[in-house]
Amino acid sequence: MRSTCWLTALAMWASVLCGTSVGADGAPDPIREGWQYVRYYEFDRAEPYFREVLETAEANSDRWKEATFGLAVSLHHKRPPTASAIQEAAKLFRELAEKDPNEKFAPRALMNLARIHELRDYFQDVIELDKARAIYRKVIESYGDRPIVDEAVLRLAQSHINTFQTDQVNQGVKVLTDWLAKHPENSLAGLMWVYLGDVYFYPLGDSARCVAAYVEADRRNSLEPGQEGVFYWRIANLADSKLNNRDLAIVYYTKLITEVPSQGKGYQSQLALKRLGVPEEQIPNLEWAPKPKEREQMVRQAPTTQEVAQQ
Amino acid sequence: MKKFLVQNREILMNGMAAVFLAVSFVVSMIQINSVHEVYFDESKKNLRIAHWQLESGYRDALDHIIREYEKLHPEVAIHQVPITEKFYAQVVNTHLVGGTAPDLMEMGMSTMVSQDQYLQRYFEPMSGHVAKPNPYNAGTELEGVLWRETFIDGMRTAYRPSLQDYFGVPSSTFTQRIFYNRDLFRKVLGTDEPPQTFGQLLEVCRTIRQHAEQTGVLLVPIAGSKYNSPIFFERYQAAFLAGYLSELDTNLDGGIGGMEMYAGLESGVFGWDSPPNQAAFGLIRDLSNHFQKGFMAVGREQAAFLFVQENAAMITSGSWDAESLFRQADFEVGIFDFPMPAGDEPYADQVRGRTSEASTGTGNAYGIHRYSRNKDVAIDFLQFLTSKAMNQQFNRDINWIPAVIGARPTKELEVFMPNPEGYTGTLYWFWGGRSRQVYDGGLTAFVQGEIGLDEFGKNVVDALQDNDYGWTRAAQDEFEAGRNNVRLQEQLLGILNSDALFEQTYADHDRRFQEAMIRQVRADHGLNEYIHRFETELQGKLRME
Repeated sequence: MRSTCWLTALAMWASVLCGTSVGADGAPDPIREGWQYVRYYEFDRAEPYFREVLETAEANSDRWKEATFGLAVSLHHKRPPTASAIQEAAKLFRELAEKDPNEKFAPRALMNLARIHELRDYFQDVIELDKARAIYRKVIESYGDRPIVDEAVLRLAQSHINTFQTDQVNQGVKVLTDWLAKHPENSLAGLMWVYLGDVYFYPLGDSARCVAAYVEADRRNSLEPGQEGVFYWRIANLADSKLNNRDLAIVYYTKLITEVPSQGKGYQSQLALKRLGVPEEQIPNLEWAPKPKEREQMVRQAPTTQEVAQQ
Repeated sequence: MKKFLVQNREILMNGMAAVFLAVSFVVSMIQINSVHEVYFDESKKNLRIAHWQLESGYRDALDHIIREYEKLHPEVAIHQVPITEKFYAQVVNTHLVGGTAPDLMEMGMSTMVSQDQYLQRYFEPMSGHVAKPNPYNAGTELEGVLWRETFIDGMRTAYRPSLQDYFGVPSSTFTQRIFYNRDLFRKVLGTDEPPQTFGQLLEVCRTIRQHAEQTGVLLVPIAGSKYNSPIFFERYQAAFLAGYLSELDTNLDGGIGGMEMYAGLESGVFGWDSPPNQAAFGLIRDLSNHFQKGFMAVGREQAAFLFVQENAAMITSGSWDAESLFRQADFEVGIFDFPMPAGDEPYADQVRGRTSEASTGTGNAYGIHRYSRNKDVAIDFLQFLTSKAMNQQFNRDINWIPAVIGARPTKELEVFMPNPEGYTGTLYWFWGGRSRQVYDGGLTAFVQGEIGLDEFGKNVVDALQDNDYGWTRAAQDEFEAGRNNVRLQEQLLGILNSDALFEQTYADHDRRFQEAMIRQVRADHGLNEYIHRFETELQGKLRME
């Protein structure tokens, strides 16, 4: 008895010293430990903690469900991926979603299951697009008022577009444009405009729609962070060389100089502005590493897309 | 006595060995104890900082900052752990695996200190810390500015998109220029003004060579080496080949990828015989004639030695070498930018322009060991090191370029400040490991006059067109890397979505989720686009799965 007390005290001290999570009984809580390893991408180390919980937790209790979800996530993502791990993850996600569809994690379990069907996870894994699409549709139909539905719509569209067959790509685009028409301010609207821009660019080769989609995404401040320069360059070049939209080209060449000076296209944009006949004094200077306030000032000086639209 | 020694020789020898062993043991214990006293002084918070910067001045400069910090925080003791470049990876990797890694480590030089899968496991993610102002900037124009925004690149270089976090805090910036011996220039050329054009540079080289021949002194115009010379080659190649961007950049991302280059080669947009390419390699060959013989077998230190010993009039290197060269040279060192052909000089009609340094990032970054016992002190020290005043002091002491906005280098280093004017997005004559190997080997032989331009070109094009190890292998490797990236993004989404349901660790979950989704969706689209382009544009026979 005395030794048990000592061991418990020692374990408590150890957990305090190590800064680990402590459960209500004073012992480290394996479920928190498991999630901590998940956050560190150490899925293989998280797995045993969730299994440990499942051995002791009451079946179908909140704790049991959380551990089941944690185990499924760990199995889904641990490297290297194996057929047995992925199949077990799929089984767990399916059970969770079917047992209580009203649980907060049920639609996420369904989405994860659909991703397993859609992606090739391990060597000789079979892609099951129809199964994945059926699940995305189920999420759209069953959870109409939750943001995860927007994600299901995007994934459904992606499952068509990724085939790169023209009719399928058009079908995917229709899924997105229909949804945006009905829900223009949905939680992933900005991303949907970016994606539409990408798809119009390639494989559809529709420069006008591509530029319009990117400009809309830019208006929503939704371009991929850190990659703004790539979008600006693409918009400016398409507007300049394919669409003969001088004004829009000027806006985006200017943004390349003023908003993203460190992304490397400032000088080439200056040359383009000269070629487009912009007076010398209106071409912004190249600044390397302007101070935050100067940068703000430079951005303000550049015309916005709205201003150009008004012109 | 002698008899005694002979009779007891074995006992005496064993005794001596035992005494030697005992003495060694005691000395070792004293040594261990003294090290332990310094590094594990329990009355203080000890911080170890490992780096591979053995250039002149670096350790002194860092030591200066450490002493300043310790004055403010007497409860802290910071110890430098300098390790040579050669062993940095081994030392750091071993300690990371063993859980005994230094609290702060310079980022790079080892896969475990640079690749995403290890960073997430062993290093402290910094996004939470860099999203607050640096308290040591109080009273300056950077007061109240987020820590990450106080860096000239907004910490772009330290950001890992796949992990959505910052790993490491930078302290310096680096560019490359040409160093020259001003005294020698005055003596031989009658002026210490650096050449303004490539034609003038060649003229300077010829004059110096003539001077060496006439006087019999051991002197070459430029100190070359396998380390320094490629800096020259890359700069000048980009100056000629950047013009292909408008024709080859079919995905309009602002660069010429391997597949775009190969598609251009196969469709005849450019070739080895294209005038800009011939001009680029012609110029490189002209320049190489003014390096010492066998320069591609010479290392970095030997080339620097040649320069500081006044056996070479010029050398190219990065700002990281400036202080070493200033200290070691007994003459006045000047610095100038790579001059371009101009006017009616040879190659001028094919040159596009200089290479832009607008996207020069920051470097010499320090990451924090995830399991450091003094993480708070490590973060505080990095804030101190990268405050405007200290970053300027630190970089002036080493003679490097600061990484913090508003901090200025020494006057002599001003010429190294990045110049945003110029082109980005050039063409490279390799795609994948095998063609890179052939290209590098061929370039070495070409610049040393061992093979001609035509033979060099044939080898390079053959390597690219090789159906087993050339273009198809390169595409497969790129595809594999792309697929791993998509999978990593999928993992990140899995983590964020689970966290939102059960843990709610991230206050900015929505931003993180949106960012991860956009990257994952675009990376996935990019991967499929890659396969589609490969199959349609290159008519690939290989089906990638």
